[in-house]
Amino acid sequence: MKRLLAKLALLLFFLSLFQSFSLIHPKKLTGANLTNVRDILSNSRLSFVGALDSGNTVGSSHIRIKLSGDSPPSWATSVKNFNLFPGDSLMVGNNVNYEVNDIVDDANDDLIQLTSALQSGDADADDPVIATASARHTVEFTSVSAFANGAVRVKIAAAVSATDDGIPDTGGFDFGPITASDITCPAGGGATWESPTATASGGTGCASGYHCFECRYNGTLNSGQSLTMYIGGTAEADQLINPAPSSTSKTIGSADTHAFIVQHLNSSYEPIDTTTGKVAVVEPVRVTAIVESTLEFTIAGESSGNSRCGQTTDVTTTAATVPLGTLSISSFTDASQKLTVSTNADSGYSVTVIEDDQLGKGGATSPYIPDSPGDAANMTHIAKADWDDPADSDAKGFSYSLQNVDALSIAFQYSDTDGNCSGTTYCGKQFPATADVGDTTQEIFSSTTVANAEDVYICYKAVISATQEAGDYENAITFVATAKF
Amino acid sequence: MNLRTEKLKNLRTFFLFCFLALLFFGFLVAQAALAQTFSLGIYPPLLEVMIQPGKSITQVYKIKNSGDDIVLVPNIVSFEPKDEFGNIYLMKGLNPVSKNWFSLTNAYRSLDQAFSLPSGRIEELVLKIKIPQQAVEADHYFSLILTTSPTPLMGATKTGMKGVIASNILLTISKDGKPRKLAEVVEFSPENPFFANIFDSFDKPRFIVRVKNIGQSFFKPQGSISIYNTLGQLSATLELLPENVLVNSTRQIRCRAGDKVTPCQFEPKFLIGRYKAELNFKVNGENYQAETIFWALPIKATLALLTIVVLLLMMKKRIEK
Repeated sequence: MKRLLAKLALLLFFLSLFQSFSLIHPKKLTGANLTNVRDILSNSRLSFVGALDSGNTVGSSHIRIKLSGDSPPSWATSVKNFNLFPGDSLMVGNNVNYEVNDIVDDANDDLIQLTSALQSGDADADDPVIATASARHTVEFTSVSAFANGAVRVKIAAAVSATDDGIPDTGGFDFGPITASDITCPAGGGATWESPTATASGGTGCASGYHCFECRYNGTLNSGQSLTMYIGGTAEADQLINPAPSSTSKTIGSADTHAFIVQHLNSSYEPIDTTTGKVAVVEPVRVTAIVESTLEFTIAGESSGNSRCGQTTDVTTTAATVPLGTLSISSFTDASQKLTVSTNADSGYSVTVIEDDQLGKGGATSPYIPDSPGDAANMTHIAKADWDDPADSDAKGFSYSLQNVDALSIAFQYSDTDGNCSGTTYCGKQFPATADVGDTTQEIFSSTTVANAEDVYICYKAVISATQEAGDYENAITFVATAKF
Repeated sequence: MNLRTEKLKNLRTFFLFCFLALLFFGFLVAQAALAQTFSLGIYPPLLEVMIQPGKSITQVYKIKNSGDDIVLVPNIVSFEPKDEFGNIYLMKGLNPVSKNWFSLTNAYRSLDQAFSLPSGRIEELVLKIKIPQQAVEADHYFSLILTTSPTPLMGATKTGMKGVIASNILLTISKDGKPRKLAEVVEFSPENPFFANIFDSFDKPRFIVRVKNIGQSFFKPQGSISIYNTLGQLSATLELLPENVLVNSTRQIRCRAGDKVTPCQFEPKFLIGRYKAELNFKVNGENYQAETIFWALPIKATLALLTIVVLLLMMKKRIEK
């Protein structure tokens, strides 16, 4: 029994000895992947790098870029005008002061309109046409390993060369104007964060192929912490420049993807936890909607009994007819219609009116019911005047007035108190007549800008003299609605 | 119940029944026909075209009838600018030069020929404009008008209505697409000064901008009014609204603030001293300039103060007396 125990003790001793050898050269701890890793761009738009076609001229505000079939230089991968929008700043040739005014939607999609003319030296074939798109990268991740005095490093894809010249690259993001002050390190997580560093691809401690952004910390960064690191400021001038299209054959609307890596480094700058992700850039969708400018004009009849232009209407009208009926010799017959205009044309509209002639018997020129001269014989088709006395034998006839509901501008109203109108009851005018030489259409209401269902009532008034020949009298009134030019 | 009471009851029932019957049938009688509606929409309301001699273009016009069934007659007439505010004066037809330039390519539709448009329908009229090879390079202005006819109503005194809706066409005939566009500033001055070119310090100066077209084709001036204070600092910029100025006509140009059309009005909180307003605009790449000087003084406040002082002095004299 004792022998057995001794043998067992010896065996255990040698086993532990062998075990201790493994501690001389311990296996390196293998890291895990950081979780919930993503890089969100504030602007996922591709930059534009094209080349001028031949035939562009100094002084022209239109430029044509080379299409894929025009043998553009290898750096010019934007071969359609799709990824440009009005207001974009544009570099053409050596001049960075151009701006896109419009993108011309023609068969070739290679024509761009600028807000100013091409300057001398900027119109040569293969001159660059560049519009940069920049973005702030919001890198989110969750820590896995917990250790002290480490760092978080974010690496963002860069092109093979010229990665820091402010010109968009096809293989990655250009470092551009970004500096360490444009980096915002994560906060909290149990550690105290130091000032960030930003190194362009190929710089000290940052191998080619990626731009490197680091945030060191003191203390222990706990496991399972959700952290956010910002690469780039809020202004475009403090952000990485998005890539240009990967090639001239890239399908419009499909994204180019570029790699980014998030690493959790230990105090010896060794990456412990690493995750690689992809960030996508794409042409934004330009949605064009044609809002057709329209003009709509409505004439609506009104039923009798309405209060219009200070009177109570006596007859029901239609859009096409004002049937005055049997006219009185001692009291007015009043009628009304409603006129409505809508337009989304910026210049607005105008509605004018003219009659063919005075109310003639059977539509003839004579005998006729005259256009009333008003109480003081001073009403014309141009001058408004009062007409309140149906018994005044010198004022018998026919006239019109207006009552504004919401038109922007109206020629006059029944209640006016200026000119020949004193504001008693009814201020009216004669209709201009095509039969009267020198009469022209008169504007009754208008707007100088867009109008949404602007309404006006037009009111008709008639009374006849005792000697008016019996019969049916009629005329035709034409309303013309036009947009202003 | 006695016979009298029974009869009274029957009578009451009978009259109640008659009343209810009248009431019921009254609802069934057709109401007087409410007014019909003429409601027509046209788009586009304005067409601007530049075309070479010998070429032709087509433009689709959409006519929407939102009212009752109507009969329309399409036609082309010339127009002239009526005033300085974009209003037009429709001529009675086409001038002889352009008489044969217009036609409708629709089957079964012709100019000056009536067609019916039922309620709720949209009709597309395809207008073809064909310019003869020998046409002179110049501007021509037309309106496509659609006219309804008055409904005949026999045996009554009445006024019949004709509704007309018009869409304007600004046509420039040019061989090289670069017609001569020349402008002249007819007037650039303050519109609402207190006196001469002097504003009260709390006023909001408004400017009249009148531009004349002395070239061969209509244009839209693009530019702004810059206002500088006594120290030469820029106080405000008012953007001009690019409105069409037709050949041989003058237009009063308004301003805009974003999408809103506004008068050209400077709206400071307080003005004092000498100001300079500079008008700058471009037409076809050429710059045009004008400037006007105005002054601002606290006139109303000074007058009010003087009035108070005089009143106080008068009161003081009275008290001393």
